[in-house]
Amino acid sequence: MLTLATASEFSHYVPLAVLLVMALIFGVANLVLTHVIGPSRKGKVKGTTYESGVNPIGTARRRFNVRFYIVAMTFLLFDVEIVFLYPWASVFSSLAEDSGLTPVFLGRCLFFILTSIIAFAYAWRKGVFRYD
Amino acid sequence: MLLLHVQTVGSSEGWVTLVLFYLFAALSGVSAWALVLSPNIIRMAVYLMLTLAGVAGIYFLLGAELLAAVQLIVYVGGVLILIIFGVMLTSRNPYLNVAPRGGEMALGLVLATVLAVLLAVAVLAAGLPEAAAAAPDDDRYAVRWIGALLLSRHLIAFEVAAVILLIVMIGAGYLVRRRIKANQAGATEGRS
Repeated sequence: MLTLATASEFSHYVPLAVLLVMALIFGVANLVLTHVIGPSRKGKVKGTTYESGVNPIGTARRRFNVRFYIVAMTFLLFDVEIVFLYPWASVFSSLAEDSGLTPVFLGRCLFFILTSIIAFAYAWRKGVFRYD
Repeated sequence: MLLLHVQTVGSSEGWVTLVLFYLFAALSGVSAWALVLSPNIIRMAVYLMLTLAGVAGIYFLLGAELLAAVQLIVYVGGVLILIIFGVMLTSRNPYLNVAPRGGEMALGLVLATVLAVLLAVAVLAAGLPEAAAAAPDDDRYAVRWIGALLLSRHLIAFEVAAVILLIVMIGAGYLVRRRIKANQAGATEGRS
């Protein structure tokens, strides 16, 4: 038998739930209303990706340049980096001012960020973000 | 089938938790099922996103806020993007249909059954604490306490994580540089 622990308070998630519901309604309503009240004229030019823009070259279903993968990987790295900053940020604001821990915690976090800046500078110099 | 008896404490908000739990569990379960059955690899990725999001919702219900945030930020927002990019980069047709052969399906079925049985045995044998003991009523599990521990007792792990991220970044830079060099060598050979 599995007992599920209840978190005591959910009231502070209510804004998040409202946001989710609003986003869902907005997306679904746009799709439905476009189908219902939008004009549906068909044609060769109407069917292109950008009706009054540039003509598309080839199809979208082709292989992408491998450079985008490196950019995605870099994004993931900084994503993980940011995750570690959330606990730091939430503890930093609740440190007592007279405890003397504030500069220590700031320094430890700055060291953490410094490594990512070094990584970013290295990647920049090696041309990870260049597209030529 | 493993039957879940969900017993909730806190009667006023208990039904909200119950409804949300079944909502997230259904989201995860149905999406995982659809993920396995879908023949289209991009749709599989979307179903995987829904499964991971449902698991994040269950983490929220358990009061593990940081874990839920990590699940959303890293897995839903990051790893999934990498998977889709990998598909778009490697396959000749990114929208290709995947039809597993009989042998592969049998192997997958055996592995999934073994894993399910192992998980069920582990959950039943774990002797989970009563809800009152497990419920994080005080804020011992709050994010700031995780932060306090991460920056004091587990400082070494915290900084080592930064160094590991640095190493990965340098590895990516090294790979890119090697490919640029290879491309330049190929271009000059082509010219001569």
